[in-house]
Amino acid sequence: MQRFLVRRILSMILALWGVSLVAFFLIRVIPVDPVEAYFAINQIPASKESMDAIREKQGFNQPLLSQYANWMWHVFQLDFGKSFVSKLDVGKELISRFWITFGIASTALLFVVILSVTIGVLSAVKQNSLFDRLTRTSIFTIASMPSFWLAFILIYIVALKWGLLPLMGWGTWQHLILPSLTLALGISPYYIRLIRTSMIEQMQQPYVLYARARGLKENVIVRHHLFRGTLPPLLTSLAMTCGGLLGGAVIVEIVFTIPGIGRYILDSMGARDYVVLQGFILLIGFFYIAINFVADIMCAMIDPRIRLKGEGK
Amino acid sequence: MKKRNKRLPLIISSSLVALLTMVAIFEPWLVLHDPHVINMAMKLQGFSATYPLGTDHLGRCVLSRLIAGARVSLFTTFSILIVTLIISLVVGIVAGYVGGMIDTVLMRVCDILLAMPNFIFALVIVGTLGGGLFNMFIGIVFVSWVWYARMIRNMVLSLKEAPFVKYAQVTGVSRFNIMRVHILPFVFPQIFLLKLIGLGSTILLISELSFLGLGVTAPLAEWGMMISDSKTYLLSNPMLMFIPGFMISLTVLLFNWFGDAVRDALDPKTL
Repeated sequence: MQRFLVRRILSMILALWGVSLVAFFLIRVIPVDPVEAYFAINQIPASKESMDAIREKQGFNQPLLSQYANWMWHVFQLDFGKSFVSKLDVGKELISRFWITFGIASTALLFVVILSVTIGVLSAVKQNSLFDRLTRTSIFTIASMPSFWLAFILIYIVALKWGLLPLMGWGTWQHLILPSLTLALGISPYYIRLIRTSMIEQMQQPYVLYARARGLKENVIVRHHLFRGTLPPLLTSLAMTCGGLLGGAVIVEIVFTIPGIGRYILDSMGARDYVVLQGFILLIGFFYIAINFVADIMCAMIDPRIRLKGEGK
Repeated sequence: MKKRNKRLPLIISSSLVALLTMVAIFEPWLVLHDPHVINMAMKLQGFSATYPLGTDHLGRCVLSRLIAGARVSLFTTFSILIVTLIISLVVGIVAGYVGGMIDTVLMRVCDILLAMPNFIFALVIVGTLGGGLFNMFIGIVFVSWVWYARMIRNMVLSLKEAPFVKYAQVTGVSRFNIMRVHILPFVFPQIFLLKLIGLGSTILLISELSFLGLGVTAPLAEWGMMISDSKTYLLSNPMLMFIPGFMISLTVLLFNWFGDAVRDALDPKTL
């Protein structure tokens, strides 16, 4: 376990460093001069001298590597710089919006777990029944729908026609339901399939046969033997899904006009506010890497084959 | 009998894909009206003989824009397929076969690129480059080759030990020729199949980016963009939003089905 941890931490550090490289250099390769953009955004008439002054102040005329070192030094002190547009601290702005997005994503995750566990387990137990076949067709269909379209359909039916939930915007818990449901519907098909296949595979295993032979009740077998076996693959996939959830949240925020990180980042892209973009890449990269790290550790704890891989040869 | 059942989904889905491709290719002859011409006098019309699916908020024919959108989506999807296929094959085969430092460096690069969620990474790249069809193409290619390159590399690692590769090495075939003649033909069909199954998600990615205003830009027509254009008319003209979304879903569904059908037809286990 120790060796596994050390290796995993080293690769995590490497990935984090890579993300910082991406965040820094991606912005440098764009064809637009950030200083010119700065003047354009703030509608300052750009003169050669004033632009040079800003370049001097922001350190743009130093060699790239020292700019990178300088930037990293600030990042280590959790100083992500100030936005070109609002002049506010990017770190604080990003974090405050991130919580909104995080709220949507985690509610969606909750929906995903509820939906896929109930439907997945039911369709595995009642394999090839009408319910199972209906589920299979409908998840195949839903998986093909773009999330923003699904969102509009939900808005149209639930909010406009039935008037059950607020149309758009942000504020109360009712505002949370439709966006997270949209996200969850897009992701659940994958999990329903995963749980169903994994459970059906395990029905052939000797320990399930043994449990049956011991005369255990069917739903005890389902809960204790079949479902537990699906947990490790489920955990790994859930970590990967967090990335998809964040990405999906960006789109859903646009549809429902929620002031989360997605809205913020799209506005900043439009304004070429590259300081915000850099902070965003770092934040998301860090979050995603951390989640994958935790998931890997948890899997290694559950499954000894993973943590012993490469050892004792 | 069983064999015929298995072929049926493949035949139907591949003919539908062919049909859709035909529509995309012959778009200029199929459209009823110029999909880009704005005619404010005819805006937001319902279904009629001249405009079978009505008109949008700028008076453009919805059906013609759908057909034009098919061209844009499919053309972009297929170009992305070809370019990512080439990149991932080159990277994967070289990393796997040559090994050593090159392998380590390439795989670490893959690790770094995989450290960001796919969609967000594509979004950031396209957004920084400034949107548009070509930049979207670059962004999607940039995030899509990585996973496949890894798969190929792992396949090549086991192929490397195969007797026919060992034999070729002993008889002095050059490295390049071994990769080209002995490795590539083995890896290609499997990766092509994987890419085929992934086509649906590429189409979704294109429509999502275009919906956010980062992909295809006006005056070109694209389904995701059509939905984005129609959002203000959700209450008065819901069809403007339903129809393009339906087309996206149908196309993605078709490609997913096609991918599955090809896989099933090739898989000896299900015979």
